[in-house]
Amino acid sequence: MNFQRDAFISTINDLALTNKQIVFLSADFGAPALDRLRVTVPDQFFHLGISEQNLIDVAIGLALKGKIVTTYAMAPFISLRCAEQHKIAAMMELPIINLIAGVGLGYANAGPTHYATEDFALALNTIGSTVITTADAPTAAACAKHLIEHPKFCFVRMDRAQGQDLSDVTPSSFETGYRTFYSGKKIAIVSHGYMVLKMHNMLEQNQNMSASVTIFDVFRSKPIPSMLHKDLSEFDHIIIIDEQIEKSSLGLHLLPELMKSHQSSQIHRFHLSEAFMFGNDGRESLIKEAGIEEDVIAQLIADLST
Amino acid sequence: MQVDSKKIGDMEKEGKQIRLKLFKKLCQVQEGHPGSILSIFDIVNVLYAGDFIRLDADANLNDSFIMSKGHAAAAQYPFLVRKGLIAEKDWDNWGVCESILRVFGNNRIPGIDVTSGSLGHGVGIGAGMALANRMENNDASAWIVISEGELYEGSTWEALLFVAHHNLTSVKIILDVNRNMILGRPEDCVGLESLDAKMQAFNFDTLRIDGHAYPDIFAGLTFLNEATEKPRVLIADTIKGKGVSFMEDQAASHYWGNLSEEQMAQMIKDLSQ
Repeated sequence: MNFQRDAFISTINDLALTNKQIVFLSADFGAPALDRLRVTVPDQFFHLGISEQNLIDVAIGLALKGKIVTTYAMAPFISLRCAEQHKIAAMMELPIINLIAGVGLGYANAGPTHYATEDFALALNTIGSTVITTADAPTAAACAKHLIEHPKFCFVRMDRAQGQDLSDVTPSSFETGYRTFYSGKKIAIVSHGYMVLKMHNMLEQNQNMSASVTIFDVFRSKPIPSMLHKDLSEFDHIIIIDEQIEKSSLGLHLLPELMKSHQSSQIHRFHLSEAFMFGNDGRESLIKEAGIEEDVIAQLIADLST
Repeated sequence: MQVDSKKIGDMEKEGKQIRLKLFKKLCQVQEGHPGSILSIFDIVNVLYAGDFIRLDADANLNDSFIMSKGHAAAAQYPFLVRKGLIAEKDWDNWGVCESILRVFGNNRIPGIDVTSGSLGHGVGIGAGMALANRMENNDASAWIVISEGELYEGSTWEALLFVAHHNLTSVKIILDVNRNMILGRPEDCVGLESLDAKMQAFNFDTLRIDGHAYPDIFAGLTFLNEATEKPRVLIADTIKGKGVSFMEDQAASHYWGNLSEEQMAQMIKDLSQ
């Protein structure tokens, strides 16, 4: 069980020891790995306080002078609060890695101010951006290495919670953009982030289901992986699920591509309702309230398998 | 710094010719923000013609210039043409056929370091540049022109806090106070004064000048250049539409609007004097 953010930041830290062009900015947001980074490369770390707009503007200035900048703050704030700053950074094609921590309902019980259930739309709609959503620590670590090797303007979305490591990922995997679990031939579950873990766990607990299902973890959602459509075209049904509202969902993002090979009746999209969620019985309760919990997906798989 | 009055006089005289050339061009383009360009033009002239902005060194060692009030970016263009950064062809073609030049500056235009147009970003971006320069032991400066209108953007104040905290003396802020926004005077909107006290409270040294008096401008830019103990802000009281009789101190001069042939002729006549 590992934290994605720590895996990502530790990798940045290791690379920053020898690459002085790497700079890390935080808007008063921490992590154990960041504590180490602040000690080991203090001249390459700046704490800007709770000022996400200035955080990105300062990142722009640093990047214009040749630095590779990682910005880091809580997901709802480093996304929507500074949307225009991201636009300007993207316009100048700057190597800024925006580390968006705690996407979806990760801050359950904190209330809707702290949920990032529409940040994916912002990331996608920032012209020229690359968008990555990691599901586990190995993916986060490989992502950091890949982005330092190939600096670009990007959003890296990740969960705040500790999670299971699903498989090894290499930096070169980001050229492909996705990985798969299980090898069923009938139904594809397409997801990213936390929902990949949930779907993976669901299949682990229902081995008979796994015979018909393959999980696609589309960690690079923009640009859409070039081979994804071809690989998905072989499945009878596609289930797409994530923790965003519909207009910000992975399903809506991928739909035009998938409609080239599938009827709408073969594509099953799951997302959050467009509503602010005030329940405080935990993340799983909110997911259940939204109707996107494992039982619902399992039932659909059972129905589609018959 | 010793002020050479003849040099300053020559600079002012030549600046008027450059300003006239710019506005003849804008009469071709027929869009833009004449009032804002005219309020800052004299300072831009001294920045470039007085060699306050270092542009001749290796590109990485050059100073940066951020026209944070991006609607006045055109004030830079004739100087960048003279420096050989903007091609004569692009200047000639602007308003006629395809040209790289735009009403708002962007960093695809040679000599324009930062894409601007949206307000409130300049100080933060300049702070980032100054940090990078400090990390590289590079003594280049980041010259930033902001408008008083940008002080309504919270990001400007976030950035001012940051610049002062890190004592980024290579950030050189020029605050253009022309007392006119699109809908009128700041004091009729949300009052901004006393700007000197506000900046000083943020731990900046300040100097307030007449932004059209060349000796003052020269002294003010020298004041910025000599910052060592604390970062500095030059507060320049200016006149929106300066030099054009029917535009001076008029909020309506913000946009080119539908200037008539007669008005354009009057503009050129006024700027020819």
